[in-house]
Amino acid sequence: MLLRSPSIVLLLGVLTTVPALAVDDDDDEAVPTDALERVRQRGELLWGADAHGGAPYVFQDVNEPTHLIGFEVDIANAIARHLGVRATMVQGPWDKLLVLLNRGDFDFALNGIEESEDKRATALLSRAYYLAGQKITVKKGDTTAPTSLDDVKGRPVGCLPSSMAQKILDEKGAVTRAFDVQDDIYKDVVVGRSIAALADEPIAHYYGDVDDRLVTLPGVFGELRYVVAFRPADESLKHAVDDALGVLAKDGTLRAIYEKWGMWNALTAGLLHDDDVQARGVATGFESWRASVGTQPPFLDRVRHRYPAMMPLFARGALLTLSVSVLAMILAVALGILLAIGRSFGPAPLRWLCVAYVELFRGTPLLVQLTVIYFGLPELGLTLSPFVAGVTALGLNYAAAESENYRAGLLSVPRAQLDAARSLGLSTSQALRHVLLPQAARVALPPMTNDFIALLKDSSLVSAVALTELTKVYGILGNSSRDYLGLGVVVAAWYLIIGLPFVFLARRVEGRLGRHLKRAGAP
Amino acid sequence: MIAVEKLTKRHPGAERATLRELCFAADAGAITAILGGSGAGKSTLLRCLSGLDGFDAGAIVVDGVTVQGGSPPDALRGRVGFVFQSLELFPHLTVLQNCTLAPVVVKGTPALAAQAKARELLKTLRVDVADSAHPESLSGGQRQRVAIVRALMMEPRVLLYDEPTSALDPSLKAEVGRTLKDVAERTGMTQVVVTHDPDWAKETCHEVYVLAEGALTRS
Repeated sequence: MLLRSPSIVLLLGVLTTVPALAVDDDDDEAVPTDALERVRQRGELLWGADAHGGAPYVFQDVNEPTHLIGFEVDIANAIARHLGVRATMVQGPWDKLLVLLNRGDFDFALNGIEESEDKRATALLSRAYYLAGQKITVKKGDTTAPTSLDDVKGRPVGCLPSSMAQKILDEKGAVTRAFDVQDDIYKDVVVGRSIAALADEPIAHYYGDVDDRLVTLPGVFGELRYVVAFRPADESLKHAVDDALGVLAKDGTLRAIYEKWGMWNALTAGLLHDDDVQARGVATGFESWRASVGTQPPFLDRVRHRYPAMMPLFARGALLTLSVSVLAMILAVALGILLAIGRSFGPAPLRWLCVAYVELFRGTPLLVQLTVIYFGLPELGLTLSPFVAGVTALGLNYAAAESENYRAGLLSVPRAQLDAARSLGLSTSQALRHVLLPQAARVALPPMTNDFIALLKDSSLVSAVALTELTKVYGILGNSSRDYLGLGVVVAAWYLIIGLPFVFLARRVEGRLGRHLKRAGAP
Repeated sequence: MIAVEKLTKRHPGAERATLRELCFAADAGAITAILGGSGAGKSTLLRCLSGLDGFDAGAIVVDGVTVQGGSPPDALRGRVGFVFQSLELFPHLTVLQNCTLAPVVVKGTPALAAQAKARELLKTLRVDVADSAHPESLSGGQRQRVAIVRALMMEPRVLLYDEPTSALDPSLKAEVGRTLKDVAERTGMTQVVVTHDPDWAKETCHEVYVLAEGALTRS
């Protein structure tokens, strides 16, 4: 009977097609414990990265938005080819990649990860595949801008969070302003909130150098080594990747990749034992990036050509947003009703428990709850898939708000209605079901509709656990096209398209429920 | 019939008992009035008789079933019907659904049979409305008779009324009296009416008691 409803069928379809749902491989065949064997048997190498970070690492091709490009995409593909498998990128927030790796979300993390001692403590690290320094970028013509790292003490300088740049800046006593998105670091310098940006050479090249209002100072600070990170037990996979990197260095594949992306430098030439520090040919990857972000095509052109090409990505994001939100709301409503009944009619200990639940989940941030469920529970042996974790966190959180709605609804029904039902012989649960809840629903419905729209928006937080929903798609595409304004209109339209039908539906139900609720009192 | 023997009820924390060793009995077909000013304990008495609240000592006997003080009064619910002063019809249900809900849900009576019986009782008590009508669309008198039918649907042995004539003009009060007499005649039900209207009580009821300071005396 349930399956007759088209929306439920659609939802089930979504659930079975969302790849992130699978917690672990639970094929019928035994899963090899050896990491390399596991990858080979699967025929697929899952590598973790954050497309939101952007060029030149991993980003969406503006000209072909469903296409993922970047020098690390090329490296991952080359490694996979060497292992005889295909490569698939798994999206995750950059500063959480190592945690996601240890959760088992992918086989290794390959995304501008800098070699460091503290990373070595939690992960196996490959040989370095790229070397670069840190570069300072300042606003052109800013006479007060620092000329070296000695001038940054006590002044705001932008960087990536938990990066080597942040560490250097902390040591130098700067006020660090950390941004998840590379573009934001430089925008902050342009508007004058940060007096400089310190970031990896490729980032300075791609975001600082392409902006006429900025200038990147000569000279590099520190030396950072990009490495691939593995789980501590996955020695075999690390050795295979080290071998692959060795071969790719020797046969010129790596150099060709760095030249294509305009990243060939003396440090890396030394790393790969190459005497020729001059890049050859045209950096096609960099030039095409510069062209795409240089000047935006007119808005109408973007509406006609670029945005339609981005629709599949937005549609996928919207479907994920919708399925996470609808399932979380179902959980919130069911649990909310139980909490409201427990608090209104239960014995004292149950009432206290319900109050404690509501206060705990209403009084702590959703992001904290989501992080605990996704990253904390695995410590207790419970590893939920990103999708299930997202639905659970949103559902548990909103259940607290829903229970208060229903409690208000129950309180709005005169206590004498319960007496009337009980005097007719109805049990309390029968009275609840047939008399109190139907009347309470009318009062609870309008705030419930509000909550669903809020939940739809709060579902953007699940991108923190590696789910690419609507807001994340906007972030990724906005960063790679630098078209935040135009795409902002597009993403807003998507949220309205998926949210408004629920508002209209709720209004109709509200009207029907409310028709006869005028109290019919005594003569 | 109903017999009340030394019924005592003390509210938690209260210095004096609200009802003190209260005794009375009423036969089938009898209409008994209980008069009393506000705060005399009328509502408490009705809640005890209907099984909504327990009591501390004494006993209530309804048609051979005895509920002792200190024990759960659940056995009274369904056996004793209650017509509330505010009627408490269920506003989200139609008139017909108001009448059939309890027999269908509590007794498992088939819906069609319950509807047929409800229509018959509504007709008997002169409620002539469409099946789909909701309580809000009825006149005050019609609503009161629907509340009586709703209680009668459970085939109680005793029917309690809380202030059925309050705020009514004389002609409507007479109408309520007629309804009670109709019920007594057609069902042989024992009816107990709490009221503060002595004239109406003397006109309508076979027996009149006065409740004052928790004690009952025959008027």
